[in-house]
Amino acid sequence: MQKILFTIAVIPMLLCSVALAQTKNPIRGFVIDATSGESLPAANVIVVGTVQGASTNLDGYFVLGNLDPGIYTIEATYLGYHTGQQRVNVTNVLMDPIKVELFPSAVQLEEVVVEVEKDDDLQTRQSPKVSIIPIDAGTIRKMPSLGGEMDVLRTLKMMPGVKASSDISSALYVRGGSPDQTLILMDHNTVYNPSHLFGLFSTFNADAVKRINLMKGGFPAEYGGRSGSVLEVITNEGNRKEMEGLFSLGIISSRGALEGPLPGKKGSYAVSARRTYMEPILDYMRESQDIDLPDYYFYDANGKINFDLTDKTTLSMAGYWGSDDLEFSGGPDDSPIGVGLTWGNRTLTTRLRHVLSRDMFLTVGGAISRYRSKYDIENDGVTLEESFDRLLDYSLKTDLEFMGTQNHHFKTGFWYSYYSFKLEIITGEDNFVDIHDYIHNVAWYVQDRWRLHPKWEIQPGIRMYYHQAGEHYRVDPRLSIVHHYRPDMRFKVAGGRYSQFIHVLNFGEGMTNFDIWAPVDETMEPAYTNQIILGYEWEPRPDLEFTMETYYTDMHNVAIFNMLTNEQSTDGSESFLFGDGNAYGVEFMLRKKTGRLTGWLGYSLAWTQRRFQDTYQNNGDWYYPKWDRRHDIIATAMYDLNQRWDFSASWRFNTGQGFTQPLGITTIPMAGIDPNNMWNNGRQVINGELNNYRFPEDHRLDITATWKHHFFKFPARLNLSIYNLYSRRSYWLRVTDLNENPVLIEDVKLLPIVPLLSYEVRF
Amino acid sequence: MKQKYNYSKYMQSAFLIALLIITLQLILAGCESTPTEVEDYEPQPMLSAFLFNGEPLDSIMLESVGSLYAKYEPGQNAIGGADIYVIALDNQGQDTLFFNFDAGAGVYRPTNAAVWGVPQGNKQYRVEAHKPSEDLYLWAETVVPDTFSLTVSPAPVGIDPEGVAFLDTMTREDANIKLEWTTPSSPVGGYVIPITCLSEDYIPLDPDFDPIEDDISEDSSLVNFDIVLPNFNYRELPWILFEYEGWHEIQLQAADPEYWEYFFSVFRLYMGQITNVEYNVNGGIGIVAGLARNKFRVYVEKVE
Repeated sequence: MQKILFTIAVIPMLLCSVALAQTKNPIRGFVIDATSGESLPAANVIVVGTVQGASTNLDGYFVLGNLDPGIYTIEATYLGYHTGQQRVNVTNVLMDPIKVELFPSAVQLEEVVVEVEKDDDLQTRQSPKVSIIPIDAGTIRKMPSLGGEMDVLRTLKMMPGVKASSDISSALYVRGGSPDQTLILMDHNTVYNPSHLFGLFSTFNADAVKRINLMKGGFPAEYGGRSGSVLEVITNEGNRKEMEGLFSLGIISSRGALEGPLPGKKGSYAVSARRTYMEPILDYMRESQDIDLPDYYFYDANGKINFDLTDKTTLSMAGYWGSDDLEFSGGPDDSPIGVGLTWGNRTLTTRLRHVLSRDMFLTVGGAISRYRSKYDIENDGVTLEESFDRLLDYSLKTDLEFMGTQNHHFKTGFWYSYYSFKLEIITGEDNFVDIHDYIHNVAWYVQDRWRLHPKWEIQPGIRMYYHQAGEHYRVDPRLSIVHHYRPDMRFKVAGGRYSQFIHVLNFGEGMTNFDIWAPVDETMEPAYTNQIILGYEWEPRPDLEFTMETYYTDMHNVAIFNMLTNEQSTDGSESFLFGDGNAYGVEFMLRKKTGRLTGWLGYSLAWTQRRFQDTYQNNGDWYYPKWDRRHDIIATAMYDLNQRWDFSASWRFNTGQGFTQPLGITTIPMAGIDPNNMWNNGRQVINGELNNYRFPEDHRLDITATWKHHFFKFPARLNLSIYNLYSRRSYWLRVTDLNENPVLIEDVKLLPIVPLLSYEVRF
Repeated sequence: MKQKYNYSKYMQSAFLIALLIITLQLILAGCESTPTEVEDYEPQPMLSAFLFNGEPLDSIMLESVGSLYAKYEPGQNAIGGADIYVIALDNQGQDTLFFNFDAGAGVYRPTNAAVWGVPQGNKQYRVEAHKPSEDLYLWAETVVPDTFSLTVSPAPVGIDPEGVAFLDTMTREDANIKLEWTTPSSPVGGYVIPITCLSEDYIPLDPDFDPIEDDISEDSSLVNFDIVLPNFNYRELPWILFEYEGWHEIQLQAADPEYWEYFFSVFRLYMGQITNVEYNVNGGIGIVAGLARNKFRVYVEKVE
C-alpha cells in the first residue's frame, strides 16, 4: 500500500522533470553561513532582474527555475544576515550545486554591500507561510533571561498567541491548545517533554540551537501527528571552517559548547552540555534553616556530527540526553520517608540528505525518542506509591522534494512510528493502572506550493494516517492561500484538519514534570481539530513587518487524566477523560527585523474553552482552562549600542489567570470516623465552577545589559539580567488555610525583582 | 518591471477601516469583568448517612454549607424541622425508619430503631429528607454490602469491654500488621482502611521528637487511611499510618461503589487534584453510603 501511494506521488514529479527542456538549466545550491559554513533554512533567493525566486528548504537547499544559458546574479537574504549576491554562469550543462555565503549582521563587512534596485515583484521571495514565527539563535541570546539561562521556550512565550500557565512554567499553550497539541521536533525527531525543573527551564540548550520555527496553526501537510501547532528546533551543525567553543558560568548552572570541522573539512561536529549545581545552595539552606529540602539537579547534552560524503550528500547524526533527578528523604528516623522523582528525554537521529537529481532533494532518516518519568514514595522500605511511565518512539522518515518547475514545489514523504508504551501506577501492592501498548502509526503526505498567478499562491496538501491500534484511518486535507495584494501587502488564508494519535495526561493543569504520554489504544479515539486562519501582512518598510491574524479552532477528543480512576485499569479509556474544546482570537504583531534596534510589539485577544461531558470535570460543563487569558500585550526591544554594550528589555501585560474560588465550608463526612479526629476537624471547602474567578492582571518588565569584552584575548560577555524590574509579583495560586477558623484565604505570588549575573567566554 | 494593479485605493481604505472596527469590537467583547471575590453564593443543603451492615443507624445529618468568611462549628448549620426517613426498597421485613431532629446534637435520631432493626447485607435502602417550607427534597440510595471475615496477623489476644478484638502491644520495630479477608458476595467498590489513634495525648512515635523543641502540627490528624482495590483481599499496613502512641482502632470497610468514588474524590480533593467531591445525593450534596466492616485494636508503644 505504502509503495503504491509513494509511486503515485512521485510519478508526476518525474514526468514534470522529463518534460522540461533540456537546453535550460536551473541554478541550484545551498545558502550557508560564511563564517561557519552552516546551512541556512528558509532563506530567500532570487535571480536579480527576473521573477525567478525560491526559498531554501530545511537543509538550506534551493533550486531556481530553468534558465537560458547566460550570466545571472542571484541574491540571497536571510534574517540577521547581510544580503549576499553571487554571479552564476548558466550553461547547457547542468552545474553542480553552488554555495551562496551570507555574513551575519554582527560581522562588519569591509566592502559595502551593493544596493540593487529592488524588483517590484517581491512576491517571488514569498511563500505561503501562515502563522509562522521564525526566531534565530541571535534573538534568543539577546532576550532577557532568568539566571543567565537563555531559554527557547521563554522567548516563544513573548510572542502573541503563545501563553504559559504561569511565569515559572515553560510549557507552551499555543492558540488555546494544551502543550501536548504542539509537535516539538528537534532535528526532525520528536521531543516529548521539553522542560526541566518542573517547567522552569526548557530542555533546549540555547547554545545548541541554530533556529526555531513556531507554526502557530494552519501548518502544511508535511507536518502532522499533533492537532495544534508545530515547534521546529534546528540545532547547530557545527562550524565547518574552524573550531570554536564557549563556557558560561551562571548562578545556578554552567554550560559549555564546542564545535568545529571534521578532519579534512569533510564535515562538522557540535556538542554542548549544561548542568545545574543547586546542591550546595540546597545544603546550605537545609543546614541553616533546619528544614527538609530535596536534592535536585538536571543535566542535558546535545551532540551533532555531519559527514559531507560528497558535494550532494551529507549524513548527519544528532543526539540529546537529558534528565531531571529529585530525591527527598525525611520524616522520623525509625520510619523514614523517601521520595524519588526522575524524568527525562533521550533522542538519537540519523539523517541522510542527498541531491537526488537536478530537481530533486531526498532526505531519509531514522530516529529513536524516549521519554520516561518515574516516581516512588516509600516508608521504611515499604513502597507506598509508585508510578512508571515510558514511551519509546522508533521512527523512520523520508521526504522527497521536487523543485524543478518555476511555479511548483512538490513535496512528499512518509513517517512511520512504532510506539512502545508502558504505564504503571501502583499504590501499596495494587496496580491501579497497568498499561502496556505496542502500536504502529504510518503517515504519508503530499503537498505542492503552486504559484497560480504572480499574485496568487496556494499550497494544497493531504496527509493520510493509519494507526494500528483501533484500526484508525484518517485523511487530513490542508490548504493555504496567499494573495499578494501589493508588493508589500499580502492576505493569507490557511486551514485544515489536524489529527493526533497521542495524548499527554498531566496531574492538574499546567505542570509538566509528571506528564504521561500515551498513544491512542484500541479503546480510545484519536483527537483532531479543525482550524481556519485569516491573515494580513504588511511591510511598510523593508525592516518593518506588521501582521494580523484571526483564527478559530474546534477540538475533539482532547484528553485529561481521570483523577477518579479507582479501579484497576489496563487500557486508556478507563484512565482518561475525553472532551471537546474550542479556541478563537485575533493577534497583531509589529516587528522590526533589522537594524541596531530590533524587537516587536504584539497584542492578542483570545478565548479558549474545554468540556468533558458527563464527567466530574466541572460537572461536564464548559469551562475556561487555566491558560485562557483574554488580553496579552507584549513589547520587546534589543538594542546594540556599540561594540561593547547590548541592551534588551521585554514587557508583558496579561489578563489574570483563572482560579477556582471556594464558596463555602462544610464538614466532609467519613464513614465510621469522628470528624474531630481528622485534619482540620474534617472541615473542607466547597468550590465553585472550575476557574470561574480571575486574579488581577499581571505585568512585568525584564531587562538585560551585556558587556562584550575580551578575557585573555578570548571574546567574553558579562550579562546582568534583572527579572521583574519593578517587582510586581504576579499571582499564581489562591490557597485556603483550613487550620484557621474562619479559614484564611491567601494568594501566592511569584518572584519579586531578581538580579542575576552570568559570564560567558568564547574561544 | 512594475506591475499595474487593478485594485482601487478605496478598497484598501475600506479594508483597513473594516479591520479597525472589527478589532475594536473584539477588544470591547474581551473587556469582560471577571470577579475576584465570592459573589451571591446560595448555600447548598447537605445530607449524610452511613448504613453499616448489622449495626444500628444512630444518626443522619442534614445541614447547609457554611459561610467561607464566618467561624465554622460542626452542627451550627444543621437544618431542623425536616422529615427524614430510610426506606428498605425490597420491603421484606423492614418498614420505614423515621427520624426526629436532636437540636442539641444538630443531627437527626431514629424514632423506631428497635422495631426497624439494623441495615442488612445485600439490601437496597433509600434515604429521603423533606422540608417543604424551604423547598428541600434530598434523596439517595445505596446497597449495603454483605458481611465478610477478616484474619489478622499477629492474631488478636483478647476482646475488649466494647467487644472489639485486640492484639498484643506492638512497636514500629515489629513486622507490619497483615490483613487477609474473604470477599463479600455483594458488589463492593473497594476497601477503605481507616486507622484511628484513640489517644488524644499526641505523643509522636518518632523517637527523635523532642517535646520541648518540636511542635505538634496544628492540623494533625488522629486518623490515617489506606485503600485496597476490590479485586484484592490482602494488605500489609505500613507503620507510617501509625503516628502517635496509644490504642489504635483499625477498620476494614467494604464500601459500596458510590462511597468508594466519594472517598476517592475526597482524597483527590485533599491532594488539590480536583476541585469538588463526588456526592451521590440528589437535590443537594452529601453522601449516603452502605458499608460492611470488621475492626480490631492494637496498642502501639513508642520506642525510646
